[in-house]
Amino acid sequence: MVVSEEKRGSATVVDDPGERQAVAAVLGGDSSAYDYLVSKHMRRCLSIAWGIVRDAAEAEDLAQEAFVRAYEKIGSFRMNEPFGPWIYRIVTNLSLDVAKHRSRVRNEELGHDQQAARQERGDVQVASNEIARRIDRAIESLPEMQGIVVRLFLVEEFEHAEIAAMTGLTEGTIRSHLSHGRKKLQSILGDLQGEWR
Amino acid sequence: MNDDQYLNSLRAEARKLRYEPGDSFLETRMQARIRERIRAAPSVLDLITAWIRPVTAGLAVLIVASSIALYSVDASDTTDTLHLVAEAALLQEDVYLVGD
Repeated sequence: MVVSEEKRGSATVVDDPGERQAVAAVLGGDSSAYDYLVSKHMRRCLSIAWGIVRDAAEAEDLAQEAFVRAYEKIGSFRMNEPFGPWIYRIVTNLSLDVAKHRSRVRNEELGHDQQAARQERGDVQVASNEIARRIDRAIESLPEMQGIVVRLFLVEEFEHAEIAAMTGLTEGTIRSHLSHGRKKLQSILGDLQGEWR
Repeated sequence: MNDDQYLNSLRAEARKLRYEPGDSFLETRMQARIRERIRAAPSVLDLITAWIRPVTAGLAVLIVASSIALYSVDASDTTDTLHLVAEAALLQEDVYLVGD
């Protein structure tokens, strides 16, 4: 399956001929070929959506919606580009819309304590490890957009340009969010430096 | 530890925060739902058919309505003509009677 790999920082773009064949087949009217693309990118899409909305059921709906929209717009997809970044961009945009809408409603309806309680809900299957759990809490304490950018960078391991394309922000803004976020994380998780030495 | 090393260590730990659904049937369920929605989505042919169908129905209604209208106009014209001929004949007869 993997023919060549292009390393970009820690994020990896894989050239997959199976993916190209699937896209070509879908464009040719074979909707069953779409299963391959769904199966390949579903978990990552779920993780991206969950990282933004922090709700398993909502993340599932968003990932599903992203795949349906991608299918409907597949005619505008450029064949020589990988499918991953495209579907990640769609799921990020959908998730950001939900997060923005929710934060507007939440600001009107809920107090700060209730927000924190919601974020700590038991949807989190991850973070069995205490350090990871601390990092998760530290990212959650950042301002919303900064937290989303930091999460996409640290957890999902996307690079600046990829995050910029996914969120619609400029690379400069991404760098600024990451720089401020990193400083805050360093102040919260400063003691970890000693453990990692 | 410099900034890059710190960042790499942070990333290595943060990677564990990726969402892993506990539900083993999630993938199958989502694929089925997506497939269902995709198949339900109209194709280009469906869209054209959906657009043409009401236009065709509208035209058919128009044709039927026009035919009925033409027929009724035609029929009333014939009735009117007969009526006028009869009236004229009667009128003629009256004139003739008066003149007599």
